[in-house]
Amino acid sequence: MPSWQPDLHALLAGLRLSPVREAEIVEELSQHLDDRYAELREAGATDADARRLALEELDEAGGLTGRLQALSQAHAPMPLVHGQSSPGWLRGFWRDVRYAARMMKRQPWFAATIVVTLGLGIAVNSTVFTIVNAVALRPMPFQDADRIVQLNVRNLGNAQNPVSELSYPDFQERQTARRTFEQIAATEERAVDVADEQRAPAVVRAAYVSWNTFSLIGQPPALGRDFTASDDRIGAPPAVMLGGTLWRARFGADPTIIGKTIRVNGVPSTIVGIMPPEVGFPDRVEFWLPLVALPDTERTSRSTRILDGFGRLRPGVTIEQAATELDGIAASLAERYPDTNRNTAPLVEQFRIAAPFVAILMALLGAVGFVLLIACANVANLLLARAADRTRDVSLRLALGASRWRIVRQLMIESLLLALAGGMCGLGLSYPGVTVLQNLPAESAPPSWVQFTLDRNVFAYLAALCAGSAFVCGLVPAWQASRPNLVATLNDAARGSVGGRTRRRWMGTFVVAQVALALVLLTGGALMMQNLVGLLRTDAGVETSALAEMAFDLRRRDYDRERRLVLLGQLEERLASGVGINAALASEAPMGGAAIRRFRIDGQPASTPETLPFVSMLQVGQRYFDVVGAPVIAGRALTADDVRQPGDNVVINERFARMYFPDGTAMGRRILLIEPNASVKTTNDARWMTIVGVVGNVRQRTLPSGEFDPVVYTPYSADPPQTMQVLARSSSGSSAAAAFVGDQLRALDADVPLLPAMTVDEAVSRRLWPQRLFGSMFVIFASIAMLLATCGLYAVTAYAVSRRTREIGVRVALGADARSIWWTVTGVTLRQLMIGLVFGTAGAAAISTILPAMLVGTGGGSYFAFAGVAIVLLTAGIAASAVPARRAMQLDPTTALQSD
Amino acid sequence: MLDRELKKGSAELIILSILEPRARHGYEISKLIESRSNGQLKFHIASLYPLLYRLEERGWLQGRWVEKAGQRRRRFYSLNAEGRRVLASQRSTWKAFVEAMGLITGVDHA
Repeated sequence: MPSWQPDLHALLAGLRLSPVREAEIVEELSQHLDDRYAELREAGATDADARRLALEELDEAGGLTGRLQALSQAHAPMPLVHGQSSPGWLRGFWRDVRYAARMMKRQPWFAATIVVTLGLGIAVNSTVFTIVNAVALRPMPFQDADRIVQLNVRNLGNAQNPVSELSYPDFQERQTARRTFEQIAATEERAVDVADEQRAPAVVRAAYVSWNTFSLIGQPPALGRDFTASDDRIGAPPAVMLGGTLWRARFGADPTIIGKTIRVNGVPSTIVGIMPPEVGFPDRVEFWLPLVALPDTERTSRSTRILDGFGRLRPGVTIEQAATELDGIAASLAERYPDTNRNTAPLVEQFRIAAPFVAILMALLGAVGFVLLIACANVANLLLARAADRTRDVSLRLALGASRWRIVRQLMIESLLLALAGGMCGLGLSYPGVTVLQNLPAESAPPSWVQFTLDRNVFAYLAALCAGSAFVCGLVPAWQASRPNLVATLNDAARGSVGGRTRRRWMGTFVVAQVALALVLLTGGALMMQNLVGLLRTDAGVETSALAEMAFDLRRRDYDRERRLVLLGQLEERLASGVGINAALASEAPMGGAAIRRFRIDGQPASTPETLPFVSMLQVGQRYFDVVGAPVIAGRALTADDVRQPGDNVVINERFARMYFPDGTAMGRRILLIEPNASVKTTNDARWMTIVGVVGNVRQRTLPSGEFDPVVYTPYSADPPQTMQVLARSSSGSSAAAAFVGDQLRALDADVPLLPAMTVDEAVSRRLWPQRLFGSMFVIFASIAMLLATCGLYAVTAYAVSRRTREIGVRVALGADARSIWWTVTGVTLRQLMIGLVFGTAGAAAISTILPAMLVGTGGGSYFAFAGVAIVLLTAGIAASAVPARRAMQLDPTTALQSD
Repeated sequence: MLDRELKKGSAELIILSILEPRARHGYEISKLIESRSNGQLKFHIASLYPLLYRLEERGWLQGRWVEKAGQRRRRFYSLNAEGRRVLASQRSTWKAFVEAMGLITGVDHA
């Protein structure tokens, strides 16, 4: 006689019978099965057949367990010890994992859809997190990086220029702060011209650094020696260090180069050391000189604030303590040098990437978080839809003795497995993004010590994302699936409508959330793009697409004021000789920024410098207005005489005239230009200038209002700048102009580097790389969000139609026309869309107020962006419901009614 | 085989009738139903025992373990007072129903 007990115990395990009762039932049923078995054997069945047939009868008519489930004795309190021992936690876990893998294999397309959806969401997250990790989380590759701080100067009461760098004398004073600082160093990045006998001269990215810079960051040279204090002393023989890349490219990695002499800005200098190629401190430079090599004027002036200060704190010293010590020094400086140091305070911050950059990153991180949420909502809906199909499966497992927690766990493990696969997919998808980041063009790349690599942090984040998404998208479907109406389902009375309403409500909720999130994201993306396009299209006031700009740099020891004046004068003469080329000098190109001055108009009451208005100041040569194309509106432009013998004549732009001389009385009026940080004393020394002309607007700076900035033009010869732009228009193109200008400059001084030429438009576009990079990232993310939301909308509508086939069939049979069927189907979608749009509008309104604060320039007209986005979503939603709606309209009532 | 629904509605009446003369165990009940209906009706284990337990829970019948010499103990079910009352009432209802069906459909009852 076979033993029936194990089978019976397994069947009864889920019924929560009392142990005694279960044993009774098993005994009673075993006897019945014994009798039945004997009967079957007598009738000629084989041993195996008899056993099989007897057991099969346990499953007849809905099955024993299903029927027993309805009995009240089946719901006794959980016995402490009974029947089959439950498998260990780990064994159960593994069984669930294997089961989940089997389920995935059984529905490969379903699994693939989820994996790709989650993969997209996770990919954008891990890409952005890679950036966040690189710039904000990972310790910088410096020794004890947490003790390195950056030192700047806070300009009190100067909102236009709240923070400036250090002057050389101020830096030297700060070096006496030995109580809290181990070391204080300073750097100034500036291109230099490198020349030697064997090779053509080249412009290289370089930095003037205090001798202790590399010891401060704990970075020894790869070859040769570091700078020493004696290299950084006045009169010391000039010493330089090379970056590994330059050493390889220019000197063929020749180790004997140490000790050799090259010309740097025309000065013979000795190479003392080579840095490893990955070092580009403070940014991405490949050449270093001691600070002492700076021109004398820049080392002696307290108002020339050009040095980036760094400090290494003593162990255990806080930033506040360091700031306190520097405060003392600053107070003493302000007392001794009120002209330059009044209203300034030291600023000590952890050495990090600039805060605005981090703010944009956080906005991006938020955006991709939304993308992932949308992906999760999609996946949750897919899982919910499948949960409906698996009601029978789950019911059976519950009937077979699985607890509800086991079912939830099983389904959660399934979503975890899917999320892990999604994470793998996401890692693969994020790889191209990270590659792009690693190969950013030099002008948009972050400092060399920021490395976009996938490290432990990124993987931990990825794992957290997988677990989080599994939880977010798996929980509701699992909970839903784990509570079917057992008896009804097993009795085959269910038609998939069991729990259908709750499930549909959840799905609707997810759709609403998706639409709302997508609206917020798309609005953000549209705002960023609008901002970028606005900036790119900002009207310079003059034609800029064919206007070439090329800069050269006279910040060299041997170029004092007189020599600069001579060189600029000669260059201007030579430029005038060009055939078919019209070129002029200016301190900045259009849209290239400008020096900022405060000013006072003669006849107006004198007030404190802090309350005076700002104006852009441009130092120009005589042909500037002609070359740029700014028309003279009143009076005259600056003439050759104004430039040759700088008097007190200045020209202003139309905007200036409109703002401050609205009655048209600008001509002949006098203005006083004051350095923004100047004290009362220097204000009194400033010279009054006479306005001799008004010219058409040319934009130098972008103002938040979108208006042109007021500009005053002075002859460059009044105070010859150290960096100058040559602006040129040529009938034969900007490269011809560049070649001509280069020739003229070289003829005057072969060692003055001329930076590569580009058109003003190109320069503007280059300067906008952060907006371009982040704007396009935002748009990519928003597009993914849109795609996901549309797919989600489609899937849910299609699912709803398939679930309502019977109902629609009945309606058609009862004579409903196509239009009412259409509304039955699309009405739900439209309602979900509208609710989503309402919530999304609130979010979009929030983002429209937050985002512009992070963006440079203007953000007007966001209503259009918002309305456009809403229309796109609405169209997508209607399109998504159109196909299922049409299918519903074409339903054959008889087929529909037979559908299960 | 009779229609499933019909059988379901009448299952309680069948069990009660079978148990009216004396107590019987489950297998005996199922064999009696089969033989008395000339094989038309079969109550297999999956439907029989849940039904017995349900009627027991309702208090219509009572199961008792009975040990006989040289045999395993078996669980015998017998009607109690409530069960006899329900049986009487269900019989008359059923009778009335069958008569009504006969009148409507012209099918003679046996």
